[in-house]
Amino acid sequence: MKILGALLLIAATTTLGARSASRLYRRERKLRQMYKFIDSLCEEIRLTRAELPDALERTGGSKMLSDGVWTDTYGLNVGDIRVLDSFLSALGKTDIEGQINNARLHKSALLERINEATEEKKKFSKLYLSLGFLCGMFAVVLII
Amino acid sequence: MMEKSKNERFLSALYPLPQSVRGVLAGLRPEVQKSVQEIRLRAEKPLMLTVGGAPMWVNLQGGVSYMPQSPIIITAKQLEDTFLNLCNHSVYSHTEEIKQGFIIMHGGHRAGICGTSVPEGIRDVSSINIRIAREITGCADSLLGRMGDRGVLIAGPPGSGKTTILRDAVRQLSGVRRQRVAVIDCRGEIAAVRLAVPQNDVGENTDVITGIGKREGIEMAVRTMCPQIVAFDEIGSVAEVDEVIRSLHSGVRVITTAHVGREEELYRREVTAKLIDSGVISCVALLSTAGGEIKFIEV
Repeated sequence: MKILGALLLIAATTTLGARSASRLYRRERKLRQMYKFIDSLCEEIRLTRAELPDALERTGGSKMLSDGVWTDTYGLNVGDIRVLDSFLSALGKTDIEGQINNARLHKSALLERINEATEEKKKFSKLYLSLGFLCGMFAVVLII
Repeated sequence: MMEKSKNERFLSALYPLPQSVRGVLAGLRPEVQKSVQEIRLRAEKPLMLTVGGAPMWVNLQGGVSYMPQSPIIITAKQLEDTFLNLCNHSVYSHTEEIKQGFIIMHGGHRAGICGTSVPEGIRDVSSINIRIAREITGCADSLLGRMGDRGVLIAGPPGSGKTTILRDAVRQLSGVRRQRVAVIDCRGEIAAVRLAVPQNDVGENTDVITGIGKREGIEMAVRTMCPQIVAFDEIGSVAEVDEVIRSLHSGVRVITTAHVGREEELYRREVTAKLIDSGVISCVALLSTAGGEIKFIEV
């Protein structure tokens, strides 16, 4: 019984650590998705001058919106969401130069965040996993 | 293309408006809806309609009056939202139109835009005037009956229905009479092309050139589309008349319109006088008021 309890405790803390690590992976993946979305939408607008609904359809942005990719903010921090909100708030409201500049500005902001997310992932993902496991072990030792 | 009733035309022009305003206008009495020519929105000013040439104000209860009584006030934010809806949230896609001060709407309506002019277009939109497109099938019957082997000039004061007659003439010549027609639609008032599709019925055998000046448009149409008839709105310069004369030498007939208040002005204005003298047109259709009688002058 004791062994089962100990195993369960270790599994629980390890899962917590894994969840924290997965947030880091998820943040990086979402930021890259955002960057790609802005980049392809901007290119579509620049080349075809297509209206926003058409441009979103052609670049797969509509599907992302309907799938709730941007409303599911799990993994992202407040600053990340602010970058996306700021990009979307200026989308379609200016001439072509304005749109290109809007995309450029937010792409460079995203690039910084992607680099930061990659670093964080490298640094902390393994740490969170190990910490989760070790915390479980420590608790088991204390209890026993 | 199915002909729409005047009520349907009015209702189809409401889509860019804020929802609250749309609701009130959709609830107007059908006889008022039928007669509305324009919907005027100005920042922080009352919503105004032009009905039968006269200004009318709409109140919050959905009534109309000749004086503003508890009118609907359009906020600057509502005006901006209307502008974005007109552009389908894609200002960059309508820059050329905006620079000229208008946006072509779905359904062939046109929205005039006013604001601070900047090189990129217009910013801080301060007023929008939605002009309800009219399509009166058969209004050009009498004109076409007089069209010979030369062109026709449709002349009249603003609001007399010149473009409506021109559009019907194009539709009939292209559809019923199977002529190849090229329309030079600089301001989108004849065919109202939106995303490559004419929003107004201009017949099956019509090619529409937009986004170019009339003179260049006539030249391009004659060179590339081999039309039998070239139609365009508001001949305004001697250079355009010269191009028309050249196109006639290519065997092309011309239908155009001109702002003329009275018959005497036809011979006094340089543009119309030169057009008449050149022998390019065989007939002038002189209009006085919208839906009024047409006076034909053989030249």
